[in-house]
Amino acid sequence: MLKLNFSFEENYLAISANLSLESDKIYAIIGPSGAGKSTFLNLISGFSEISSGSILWNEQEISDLPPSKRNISILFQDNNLFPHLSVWRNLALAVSHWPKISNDDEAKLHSVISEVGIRGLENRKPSQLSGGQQSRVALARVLLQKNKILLLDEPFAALGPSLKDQMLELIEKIARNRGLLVLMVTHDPADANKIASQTIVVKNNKVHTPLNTNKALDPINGPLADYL
Amino acid sequence: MAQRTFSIVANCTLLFAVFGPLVVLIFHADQNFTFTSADRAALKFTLLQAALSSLLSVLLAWPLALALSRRQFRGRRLLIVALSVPFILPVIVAILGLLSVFGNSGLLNSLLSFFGFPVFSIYGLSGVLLAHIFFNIPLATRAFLLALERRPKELDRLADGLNLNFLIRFWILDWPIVRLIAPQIFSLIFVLCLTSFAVVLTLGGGPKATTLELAIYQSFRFELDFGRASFLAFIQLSIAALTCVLSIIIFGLPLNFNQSLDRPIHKRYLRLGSLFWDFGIIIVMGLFLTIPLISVLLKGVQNFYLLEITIWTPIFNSITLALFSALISTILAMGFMNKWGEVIGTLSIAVSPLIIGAGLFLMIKNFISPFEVTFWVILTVNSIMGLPFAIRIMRPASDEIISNFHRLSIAYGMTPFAWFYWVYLPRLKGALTYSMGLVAALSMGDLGVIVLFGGANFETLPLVIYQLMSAYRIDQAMASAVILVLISIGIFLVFDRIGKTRNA
Repeated sequence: MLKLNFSFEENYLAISANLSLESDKIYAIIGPSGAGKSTFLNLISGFSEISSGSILWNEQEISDLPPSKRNISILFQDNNLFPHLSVWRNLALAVSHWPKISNDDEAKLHSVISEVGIRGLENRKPSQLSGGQQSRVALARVLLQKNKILLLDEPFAALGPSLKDQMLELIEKIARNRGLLVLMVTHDPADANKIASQTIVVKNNKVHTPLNTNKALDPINGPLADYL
Repeated sequence: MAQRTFSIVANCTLLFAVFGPLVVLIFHADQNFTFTSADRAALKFTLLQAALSSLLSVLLAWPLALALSRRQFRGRRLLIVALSVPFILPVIVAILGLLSVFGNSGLLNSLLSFFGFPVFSIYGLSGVLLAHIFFNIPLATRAFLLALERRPKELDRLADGLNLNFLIRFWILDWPIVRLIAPQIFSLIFVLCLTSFAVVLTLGGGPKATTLELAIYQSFRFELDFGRASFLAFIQLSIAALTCVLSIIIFGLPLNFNQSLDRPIHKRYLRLGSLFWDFGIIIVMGLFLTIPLISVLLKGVQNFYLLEITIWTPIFNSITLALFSALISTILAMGFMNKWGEVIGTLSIAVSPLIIGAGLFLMIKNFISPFEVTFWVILTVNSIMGLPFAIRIMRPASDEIISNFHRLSIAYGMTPFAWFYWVYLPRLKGALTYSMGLVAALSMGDLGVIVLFGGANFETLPLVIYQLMSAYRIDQAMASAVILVLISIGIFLVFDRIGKTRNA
């Protein structure tokens, strides 16, 4: 259970949140541009600091921990891979900082590589991969970190529709197998419909409590009627 | 954090290495010092030559930049690249080149005397100015060109459409750029010429053409009058620092002139007269900037047989100095990847290497004979002098790495060491090697503190060339100069090559 009860203020942006999220569900986050969707993820993951309040993960306060200690992985909009390092090294760095990694770690890498379907690409640089392949490598990286919460800040926005759907299916499958809590920012209601049963609306300086996705996206009576 | 610690260490090192010598120098300054007429003449000449050099450079660079910005011709890109060569060209080589064209038995005087005109003397004010504009016209031209190319092309089209005449066009289109860039360039060149050493050492001198810098050197080296030298150094430092600070206050931090200049140009209709004018300027300036170099290279190669085996030691010394100072400058610069670095980089041109060298001399002379540790003194000074360039080159690259990948490295949970080893260093490699190449080339060609310290027990290649020149063995000097140019540019290119290999 992730309990969020905080507020955040900055020069041009203020948001407050008071909601609880279940540990093994996928939530979509939707709202107008500039409403603070990315900021919301940054606050949970620790790249921005909340002004007041608390973030509880399984009843433990995590808002004072650095990003790497919060049991949270995040995929950004871009720069999810180090372009000068091979796929293998990009993944290996998630488990060890030493040039040579242990046999155990190697086995972990191989298993994740199969899981996301990038076998055979280990020696390539990110620039030698297609957009879809890059997304898979980035996903493999966060899976190796074995964190229970996965935040997606529109990492697949640049992909074509069918590739994006493939990635969403992969995310759904992995989240189910591993019991992950996924928070996915998106602009596209179709994404939310596809994999998220619940949707969080961010609007008017407030992160609203999750609604049933159908209800949240109702184009006539829903909270986002004027946005959609 | 480790990065912060390193930054503090780097700052302290610099403070100690720069302010240490300066403070010692100031304490040595003669309290009861009175300005002799020679000192007054030196002060006057220093200001005069610096002002004239910057004025002439700016005045001559403007038409060249304008011509280059509006004419498309074969070799244009090559010419623009060539404008950055004087920057890494050893000063002594350029001076030999100028001598071979404008010297007593040079090309120009042969022509003049053939037609019965009086000969032109390169020694004194005219020679100093000639050398200074030779070095600074390219600098000023690049700055103007950069500003001209940034101007929206629509403005040119608009002016064409309105069929504006030459004067109105200048007033509306060009004057705003001149007004913005010219004062900055002027003050930069002014400070550079204020502390110029090798040029005045070789082409100036005598009661009529001595600068403060040269007077400091002379009272240090020949009169051993440390009080006087320190006092003059203090005056020079004050003028240079004042110019720098005033320039920063009035014009802000200088623009970065190291950017690439290869935007396509806007073709437009221009009258035949201006066509002749533009190409006239390009040809005359192109010849002025290239003939001295071609001349020294040709004569040098013809005289290779004069080279002696003893030249190997100074070559070895110079290369060692160049490589180590490149390494030290570049490593230190990594501690200045912040706003401070920018300020230090700008202010440091006010401190002449000679003054730091003199300060170091006074600092250590009570403990050890400075002439026994010449290598270390020069290494220190060259490393400090390279620092601002290293900072300027690496700072944008460093900022970019941090803004693109710092967040990701936190997401990975990287330690500072892992960040440095796997991300920062490999991604900085290009800028790092470029900086090392540049500092190495500058250090390789440096003729400054070495003249103060160098002697029988430690010589660098530029010092040897200077000594050959002073002994009127010009042919041998030119042959050695060719070697120096080849090594300087060679080192620069090797580093450039290293930086470009295996980069994603």
